[in-house]
Amino acid sequence: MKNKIQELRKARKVTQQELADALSVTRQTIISLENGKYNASLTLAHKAAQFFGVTIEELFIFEGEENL
Amino acid sequence: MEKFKKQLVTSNCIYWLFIALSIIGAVLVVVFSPNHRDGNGTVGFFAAMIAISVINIHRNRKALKNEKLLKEMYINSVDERKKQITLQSAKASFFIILASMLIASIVFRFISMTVSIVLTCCMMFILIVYFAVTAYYNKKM
Repeated sequence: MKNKIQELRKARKVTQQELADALSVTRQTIISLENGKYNASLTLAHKAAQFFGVTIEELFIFEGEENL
Repeated sequence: MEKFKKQLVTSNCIYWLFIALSIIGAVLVVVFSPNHRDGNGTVGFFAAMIAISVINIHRNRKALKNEKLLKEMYINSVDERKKQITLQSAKASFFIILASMLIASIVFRFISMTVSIVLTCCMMFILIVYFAVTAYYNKKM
């Protein structure tokens, strides 16, 4: 699933480590999220959306039937 | 974070108990082993378990005194991607081990019947436990 995490993070001048600490995940998780290799759980998606002050739908781009 | 601190303290108690049991086990093996050479591997195994426990106790104590290290450990323990990796690894390992046991059981049927039967019984035990645990979680969730 594509997302705008990297875009929003750079716009707010936040490092991956700072974002990881804020969301209580490892930096590796942030890297995997930004690369689209890992799909966040609902809880993490919600935390990330709250951190950036956007909605989940604005942060994550759901492109129909993935992995079906 | 307070809950995690309590978890580390509990972990340390369990490790100490493990060390005590390993020492008792090693002593029993040495004292009651008919041929002292046979016990060497087992004593070595217990020694390794003790060493691992001591390292973990030391790591936990260090984390309890250092907030930065504690936070790092906490994040590593709750990170969802790591949990998912552990889950996927366990799932894959389970099936690989079961398949390997099945193949070994068939191969050993032509070499040693005892080994084949033991492997088959182990496989059956694993499957029974798997189905029982699955039924439990199906009901719980």
